[in-house]
Amino acid sequence: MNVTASADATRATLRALVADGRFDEAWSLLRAELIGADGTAAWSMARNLLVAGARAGWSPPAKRQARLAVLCGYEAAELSEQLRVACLALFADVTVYTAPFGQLEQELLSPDSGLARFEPTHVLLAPSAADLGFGELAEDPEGAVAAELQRWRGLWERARGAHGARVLQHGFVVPDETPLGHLSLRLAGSRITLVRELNRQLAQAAGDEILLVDTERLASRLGKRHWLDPRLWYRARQAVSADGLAMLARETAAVLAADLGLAARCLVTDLDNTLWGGIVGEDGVDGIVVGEGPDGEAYCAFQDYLAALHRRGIVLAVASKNDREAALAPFAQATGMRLTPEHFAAFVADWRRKPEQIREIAETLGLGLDALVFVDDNPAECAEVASALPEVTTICLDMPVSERVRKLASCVRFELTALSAEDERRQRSYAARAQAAELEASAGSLEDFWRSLRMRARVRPLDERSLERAAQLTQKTNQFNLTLRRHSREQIELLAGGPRAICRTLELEDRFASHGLIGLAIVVPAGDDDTALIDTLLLSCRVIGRTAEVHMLSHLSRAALDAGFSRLRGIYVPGPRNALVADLYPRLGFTASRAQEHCWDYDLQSDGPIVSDFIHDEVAV
Amino acid sequence: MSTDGFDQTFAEVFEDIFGWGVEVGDDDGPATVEGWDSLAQIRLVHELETRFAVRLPDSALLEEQTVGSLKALVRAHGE
Repeated sequence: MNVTASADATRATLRALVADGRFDEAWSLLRAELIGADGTAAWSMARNLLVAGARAGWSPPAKRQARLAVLCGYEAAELSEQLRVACLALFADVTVYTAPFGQLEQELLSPDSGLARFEPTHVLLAPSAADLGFGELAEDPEGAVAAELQRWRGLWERARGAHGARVLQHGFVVPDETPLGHLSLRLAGSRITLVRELNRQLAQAAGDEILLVDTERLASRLGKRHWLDPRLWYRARQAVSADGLAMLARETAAVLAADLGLAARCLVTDLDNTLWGGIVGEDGVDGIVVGEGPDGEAYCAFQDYLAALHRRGIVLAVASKNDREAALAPFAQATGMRLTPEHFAAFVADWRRKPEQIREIAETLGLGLDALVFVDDNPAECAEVASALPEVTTICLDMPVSERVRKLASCVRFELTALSAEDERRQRSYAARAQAAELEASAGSLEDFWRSLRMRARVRPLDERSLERAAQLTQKTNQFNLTLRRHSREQIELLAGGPRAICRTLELEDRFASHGLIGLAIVVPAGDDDTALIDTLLLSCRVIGRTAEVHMLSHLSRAALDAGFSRLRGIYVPGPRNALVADLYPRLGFTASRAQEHCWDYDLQSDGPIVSDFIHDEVAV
Repeated sequence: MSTDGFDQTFAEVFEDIFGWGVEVGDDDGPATVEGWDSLAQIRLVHELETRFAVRLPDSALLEEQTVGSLKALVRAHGE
């Protein structure tokens, strides 16, 4: 049995690493199993590793925290436990509150419930089809579905309104057993039709706000006979089997992690025997396999899947041990290739070790290593990357090429919570950043470089159209983020709508690309009449080092003067990755505030508005 | 599966569920093993079924099981 064999190998290696106190490596090994493999053995091992680590004063690295309340229609202890572990595997340290099962309304409605006292940032509604009031054949199908829809929408509103939480909801699994047989498909009132219809209407009502988990798809993947273990239902009120819960926890955690801005942003791929069969440096372009024949078609399908990820916003990059010329040849000459060099924001082909290549890709693209997923057919290369760069998610494609799309698709690091028009544009923009970096190397002075970029900006007040992207930016931006405040869409609306508030977004274009909406600033009155406080100032890492921040501040300073403020106050809150903006304010003539720590003041009256030299406004504002 | 292999796999399953370093004898059960509650029992049965590729009877989930009685069930339903 495949799953058991891999678990055995993992177990032995893991315990050896733990005995040596090498917890980070052990965790990296286990993360790969938790994220990508089915079965439950890895979860038991993870529990033991976490216990052993805690004893030794070690804890797994986490980039974000959240407080998750689990409201389950069935016994939830195992689901909660696995959610906590799965979130850790995805870099989120999540404190979980498990409500007594079946108490959804009570927990959300009562002002002194355990949930209310817990003050969750996220609420998971995890019902099963047993919670639905559907009979085998309903006399009033529309009414039955409408009543359920109303119940769940009401719970969403309550969780968001009264508790200010983000909502995750498990969809319903369409029952597999029916006394009506295939006729149930044609009956509007059959239980199967009702559950399908409810899923559809829930998805419609959820919009961009409610994070639905497609439980029906997961149950189908595992097989419904394996999704529900009736023994566990009758004996323990557990509506999902052990294997099903592991899958459900992993996928739910992925949706939560994506909501926290922790989804992977870039896929780094090997070339030989990954994008095509054979080694181009040895076999030549004519000797590689792609396009024709069973393997050739499968390589095509793999490329198609990468292209589809690229279309929805995942940045692609190449890390290959090859001569650059040889590596590029198939893209120009081989028939049947689906990817082109333009698909890749970074193309590294040389003879350095892969960890070195990948580190360079992360730096060129301005991404953290945890934002990278690496795929390679060679287990040795994978092992080297996993050991040297444990933050990178490494997927080893050491199976026949026909099975690889399935393997890649089962990696849960590519979840996304909403599709924005920016996603497509960002793609080109990362490629442009890499080109600009090459130009920087050849340009004389930095000022020359900035001028040569011919940058144009559009600075605008926040509107309905830009709100989604603005919220996304506050969640995703780690490096150029002065205050590290992460606002939800609702909070931004609230701040921007306040009296004398100034809220601006910045779109930037240079001669290589349009970078889209990459900056956000929110300024609010500081409390006295004279001072305008910069609550939020952030820039996407794509445009760091372009003076876009100066341009934003020049607009803010003018707007603050117009609004009758005489002083602009900035805050810098030091965080793990934003050291590069530590000196932003003093650099621009702000002086350390005597009033508060970490605060910097700029005197608008005597110093006048801040001037931006290298970026021009496309439209005068 | 040899007796040694059988016992070793059994011991591994117990360590996975109840913690590394846990040692159990055939007479041990929920009363004598720390953490052996109903949730652990479900995990235990599932893990045994997966590792030994057997399907145990529903009675395996009852709380009066011991290490020895579970071994007997796995042997009786294996092969």
